[in-house]
Amino acid sequence: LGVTTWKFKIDLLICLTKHKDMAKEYLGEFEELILTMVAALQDDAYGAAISEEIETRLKREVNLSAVHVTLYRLEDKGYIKSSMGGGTKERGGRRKRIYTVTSAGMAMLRAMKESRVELWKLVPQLKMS
Amino acid sequence: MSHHDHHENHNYHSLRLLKWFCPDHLYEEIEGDLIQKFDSDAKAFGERNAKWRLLWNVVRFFRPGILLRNKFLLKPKYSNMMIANLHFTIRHLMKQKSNAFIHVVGLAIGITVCLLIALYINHQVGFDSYHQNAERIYRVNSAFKEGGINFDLYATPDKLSQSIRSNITGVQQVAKARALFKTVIEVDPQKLFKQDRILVVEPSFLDVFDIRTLKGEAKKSLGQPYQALLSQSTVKKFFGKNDPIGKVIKLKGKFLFTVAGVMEDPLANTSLPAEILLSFTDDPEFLDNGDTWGFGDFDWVQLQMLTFILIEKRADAANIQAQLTTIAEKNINENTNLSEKIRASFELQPLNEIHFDTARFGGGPWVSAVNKSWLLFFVGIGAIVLILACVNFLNLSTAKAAIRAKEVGIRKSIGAVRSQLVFQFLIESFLLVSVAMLLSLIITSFSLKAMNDLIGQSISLQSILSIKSISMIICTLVLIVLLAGLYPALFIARFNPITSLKSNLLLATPRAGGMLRRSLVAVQFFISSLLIIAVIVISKQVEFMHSKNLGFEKENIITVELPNVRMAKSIANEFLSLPNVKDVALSRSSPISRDHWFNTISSDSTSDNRFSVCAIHADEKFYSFYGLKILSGRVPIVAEFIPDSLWKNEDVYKVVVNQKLLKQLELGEPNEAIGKHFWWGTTAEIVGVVADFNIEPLEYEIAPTIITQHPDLFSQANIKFEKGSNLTDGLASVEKVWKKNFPTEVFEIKFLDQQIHDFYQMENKVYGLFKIFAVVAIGISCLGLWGLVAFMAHIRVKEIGIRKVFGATMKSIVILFSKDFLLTIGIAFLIACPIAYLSLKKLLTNVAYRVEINWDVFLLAAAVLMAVVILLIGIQAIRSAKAIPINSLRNE
Repeated sequence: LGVTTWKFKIDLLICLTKHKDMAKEYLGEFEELILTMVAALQDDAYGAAISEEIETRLKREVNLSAVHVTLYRLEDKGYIKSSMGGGTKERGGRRKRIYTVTSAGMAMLRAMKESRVELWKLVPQLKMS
Repeated sequence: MSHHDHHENHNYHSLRLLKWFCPDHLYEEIEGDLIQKFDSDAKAFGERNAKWRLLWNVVRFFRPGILLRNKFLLKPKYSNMMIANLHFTIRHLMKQKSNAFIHVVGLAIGITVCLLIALYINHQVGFDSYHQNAERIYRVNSAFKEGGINFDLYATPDKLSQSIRSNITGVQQVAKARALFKTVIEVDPQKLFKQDRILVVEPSFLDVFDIRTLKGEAKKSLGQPYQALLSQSTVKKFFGKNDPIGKVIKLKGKFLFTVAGVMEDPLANTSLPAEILLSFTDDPEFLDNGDTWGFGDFDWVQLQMLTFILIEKRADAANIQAQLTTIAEKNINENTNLSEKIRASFELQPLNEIHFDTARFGGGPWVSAVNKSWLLFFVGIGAIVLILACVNFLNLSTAKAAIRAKEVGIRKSIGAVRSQLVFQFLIESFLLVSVAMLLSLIITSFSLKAMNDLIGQSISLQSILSIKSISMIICTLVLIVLLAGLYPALFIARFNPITSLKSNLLLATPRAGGMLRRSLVAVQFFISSLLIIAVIVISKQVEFMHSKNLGFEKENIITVELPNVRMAKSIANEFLSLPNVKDVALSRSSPISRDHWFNTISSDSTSDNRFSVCAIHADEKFYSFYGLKILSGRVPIVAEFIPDSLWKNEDVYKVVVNQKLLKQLELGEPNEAIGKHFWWGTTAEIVGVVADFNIEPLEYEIAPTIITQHPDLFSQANIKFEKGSNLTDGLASVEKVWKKNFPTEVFEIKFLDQQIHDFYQMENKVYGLFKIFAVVAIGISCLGLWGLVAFMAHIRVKEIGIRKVFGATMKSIVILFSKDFLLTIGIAFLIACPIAYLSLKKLLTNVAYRVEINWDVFLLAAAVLMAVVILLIGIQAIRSAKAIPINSLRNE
């Protein structure tokens, strides 16, 4: 009884946050960045690689734990899915969790890009005189 | 590879930290990512730096987004079991409501007593601790030696504070203070008060002690002459709601002080409960009504000031003590005016010891010092009560085990491990003890007021709200759970599943627990017997102290103070002419008093063998007035008194002495002693011998006593009313006469018997508390016995049924029931008797006048104990003996 109650409570908690976000159909800036990176890195999309990639390409300091938490959240929301990769000699033999974008995630990315483009059109364009 | 191993070794601790909080299913990849990050960091910043970065990265993972992904805390099988156990526990308790009630209430009462005692002791030990510098504050006491007699006094010479200031290193502040007792204060001509608790202080007093002022600048005003600080309640008493600042009050009819400020009322736990602080005024007439001791004719041996010092932060008290000794040596012992028989020194006493300093005349002005052994005594009582309550708990739990035997059997046979069962029963105990604890907190908060009223303290429950006391409570809780719950838990969990399942309830009654249970009952009633005997003896002692023949009359007598001794004789005559007044005598004090003067005497002026004697100054009527028995000779008359101014060297003091003094000086029988001389500073001649009477409260032996004429000291009129006369009228007429003579003074009467009664206030309070706690302790034992007997009746219900079917009479069944218990309790009582006798005898040796502990005490105790026990067992026994056998046998 005890554990089920606990679990229920946590599920409820996660479910509530999930529900809230779903309703808004909205991703935070960092979430969007991570989702984009997962899509871009394809078979090599895992926590450390994503953070390295962001650091080298965007010159932006990111924290590993922030990347991981965001990845888990995106997975909860159903935009990405994960599977454990094979062991390698690097990383002390630890396996990587490889993420791939789901079709819902792809749709989300696309929708966001389109809405950006729509909004961009509203901005008065500078003309060369 | 070896490279990585190296890393892993280094970073083992960081990663172990991660493992501690990271969910298992995420651990591997996070660890892998961290190691990868570490490798790249090591390349970029060096290995040392990377190591710290790794640790920091691990710490960054300690966030809700990770933590909440743990599948929570308790492993399913344990938490499920715990919930189930809780269910079972509650079911059990509900099924046996009376049993649970006894468990919880008994414990709750026990814990309540402990809590109350803890609060009391906390209050006592915390005396004076509220001052910010409390640990650095000391009082300087005087220790004088005259002949073989020690005088330990809290008063010091006036000059001491100045001398400390200029000669002693390591002292931050010195403050002298003079305590003035009841002093007449005139607020306006219509408003006179007799005000106690006045301290005349130097401004540095406020640097030593924390005194919170509400109005005015305390320190500044005390530095100026004739300024006063009043406590809030004194302000209310004097001025009502009017602003007191700037008002003038008149002390002793001539000293005008301006009210310069208002301070907070003294706290309940202070040893310096001053209601009024006055700036220091060096006028002997102003300073005269306080404690004063004199050992000779120069300043340094006139003791009247309290001297307090605040030592510097890292100063060594022993070093300061040594310097104080030097001061005493230089100024007193080397003074040629001082009698060679007198030796003096000064002693440092930490502030927090004043409250326990019973040696120095009650500890100080307005201090009623508490003997530390009383505190120990109460700790003992608390422990006993708690142990009794725990024993109850233990007893009932093991007895109940028979009922739980089947449950344990089933649990074991479906695979419960013993540790799980122990855990289950401990949880059960924990639940009961926690409920008891809560209940006791509620009872404590309600009974605290009653206890405060009884002991005249104001202890608040707030002091319990500190972290220290809460952690103490939790420790007690755990201790009780272990004390009371561990054995039953181990005991029950030990049952063999096969026997407990196979046999029925009756046979499963664990005989093994019987012996233990019986000895625990014996222990309980051993303690209860001790307490019953103690209560009887102490109540007899208290009664004895109130009713003992003191050797003088005390009925229908009042005393009034006479502010002007010159008018004493004429006022006495006026009193005597009043209709209801039977007799009047003049004296300095009553025959029994805590305020007697003590001097030293020896057989002649050269003798080193000195004795302390009590000197009573009284007129010739004093003897017949109080019914003192003159054994031989006569009483000295006024004409025989020679004032100091007319004193010639060959003159002798005419005195009456008591039998004790004769014995002390070996002067023989009363009729032989008449006309003999002894040395009392001057030569004294015995003109009469009076039978011994009690001059002090009965803790003290009768001291050798001198009674002599001294009209200059007759500051008290003793007035005896006619038996059966109207007291109200009598008092009113006495007051009228007094008021006519002393219009600017405050009239106050004291009833002699009330005064004598008040000597034993402390005893009465302690006895009152002890009686209550003893009754509670005995009650707890009885509660336990009741539960145990009820349980036995329950277990043996079939046995009794069968016996009845076979024709057992009610009498035989009642005997069967009571025999074991009565035997056990009887033995406990027999063991308790000699121990009670010896320890009470020892306790009473501190009291000079004590009751004998006779057989009647033990008979009475036995009767009380047996009455209670037989009542308890009898009700149960008769109830089960009366039960119809069919009902008990039919029901399977």
